[in-house]
Amino acid sequence: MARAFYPVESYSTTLQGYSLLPFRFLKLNDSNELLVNEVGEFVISPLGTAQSLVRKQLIRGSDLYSTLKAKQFLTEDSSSPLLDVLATKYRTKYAFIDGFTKLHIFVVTLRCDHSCHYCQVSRQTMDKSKYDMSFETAEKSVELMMKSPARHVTLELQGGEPLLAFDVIRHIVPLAKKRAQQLGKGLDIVVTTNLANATDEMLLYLRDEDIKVSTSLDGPAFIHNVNRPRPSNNSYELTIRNIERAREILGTRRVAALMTTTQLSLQYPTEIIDEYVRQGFHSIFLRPISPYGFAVKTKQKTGYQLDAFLDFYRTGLAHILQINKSGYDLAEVYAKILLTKILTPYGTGFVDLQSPNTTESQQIRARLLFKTLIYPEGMGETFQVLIQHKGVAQPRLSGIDPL
Amino acid sequence: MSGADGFGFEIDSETSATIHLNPRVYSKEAILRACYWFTDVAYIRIPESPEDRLVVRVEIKQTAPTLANPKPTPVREFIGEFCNSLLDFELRRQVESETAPVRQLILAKAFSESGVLESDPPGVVADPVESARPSSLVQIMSPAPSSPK
Repeated sequence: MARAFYPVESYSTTLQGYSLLPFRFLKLNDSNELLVNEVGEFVISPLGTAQSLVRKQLIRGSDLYSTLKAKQFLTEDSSSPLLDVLATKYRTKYAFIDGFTKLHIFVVTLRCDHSCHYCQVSRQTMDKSKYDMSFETAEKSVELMMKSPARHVTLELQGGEPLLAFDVIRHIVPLAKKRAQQLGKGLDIVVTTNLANATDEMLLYLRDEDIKVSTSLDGPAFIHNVNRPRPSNNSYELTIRNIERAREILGTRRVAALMTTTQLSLQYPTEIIDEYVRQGFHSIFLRPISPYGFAVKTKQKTGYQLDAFLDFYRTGLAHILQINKSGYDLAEVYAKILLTKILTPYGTGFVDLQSPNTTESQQIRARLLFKTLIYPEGMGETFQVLIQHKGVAQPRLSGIDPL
Repeated sequence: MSGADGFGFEIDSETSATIHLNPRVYSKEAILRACYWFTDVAYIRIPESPEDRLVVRVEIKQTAPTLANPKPTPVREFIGEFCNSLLDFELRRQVESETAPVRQLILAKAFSESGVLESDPPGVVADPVESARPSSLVQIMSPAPSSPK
């Protein structure tokens, strides 16, 4: 006897209406709007699509209907398998929160030989050792870090200028390694340093302890030395010399550089990028300045505006693409972060693109300040891009100077 | 005054206007969201209103001109934009209210690590042929109703 199957009709969809699945939308321009669902699937479609969708006026079988169904903006049945698929996608998008806090930043000193106006850290002069982290604090911090449920943690040594407190680093590193081994955790260690005070002894220690170096390079000398003032005005020369020395000792792969974009930098995207290529870097991060700390207070110096940054970014990205086409690998990190979010099932934990964990009144305040830049109701939670000067009393969000 | 579409306005001066909204057409929530959205270009007040309409008083901010915004938004243009965004916020409210339960379920499933919120695939997995002649060693059986996951 033949096996019994359900008749073919039972596999066709019912002819009743559809239900909405959670989504957000935003008018993009005079002809299109953007619809994004809970798990990041998106559709760019003619204005009015959201309205037709919500009012259940879409024509079943039309391309738009099928697309919205396939991308899970609407469903004809709210069956559990569909929800499981959405739940899995959601979990994937937020996989970076799995295991709780993974990056632990140790500000081992507030001292610094530089006085960069964009720095988010309150800094002290070099000779005040009372501004170093105490060994006791360091030990407790290591214990706290190891309490994170993450299987792999990253310890970032920061400052101030952390190499000025090298004794604290030498205290923390073996302790963290011992505890990580006892607990079976993976451990990466990075030191964020301007390298100006790096001695061979320090670099050899970093090599032996497998510690990566992240340094600052803001562009050619005429930009770098203005952005990053220090006595003798020789930050650029010291940085370049010590990047080379660090590469010799640690290996090229273990030395990375980050740049900070200031008002001055905005005029020189190609010069900055060419400097990175000249120094042999294969990655550059054209990042907007983080809206924290001194970056907010000194807005006169760093206070560029979104439009100006976007012009800088457009020119820069086009230049980077050209460099890649000519055969030199150069990644742009900001594009990578955004494209990962937009085009892949994965999210990123890049903090400037997350909604900060603030109180409700702070959130309201932040939204009041920036709502012309963020997406409406909710999309700002994940697409809070390129926002400067949080906390500024009277932000001017468009244009640069009064006419 | 409030017209048939639940919307009406009076222009009080070059920079201020009074908008009347019918709360049966636009939810209070959508109105408040739209008001909030425009607080960068206008001072907005919502005085106590009679039950059958909601009054929104608008005064366009006279801010220093900038390159991108050389002059303040004309009040008529503001009202048009406000009206359009009211529709959008009303739609958003509808989406949220219709999808709130399913959204909660998705989040609960996404972050439930126990698997208790996951269900078996729909349908019956038993093979009727095997059931009819239970002779072979391997049988495809439907799980017993009480079987643990």
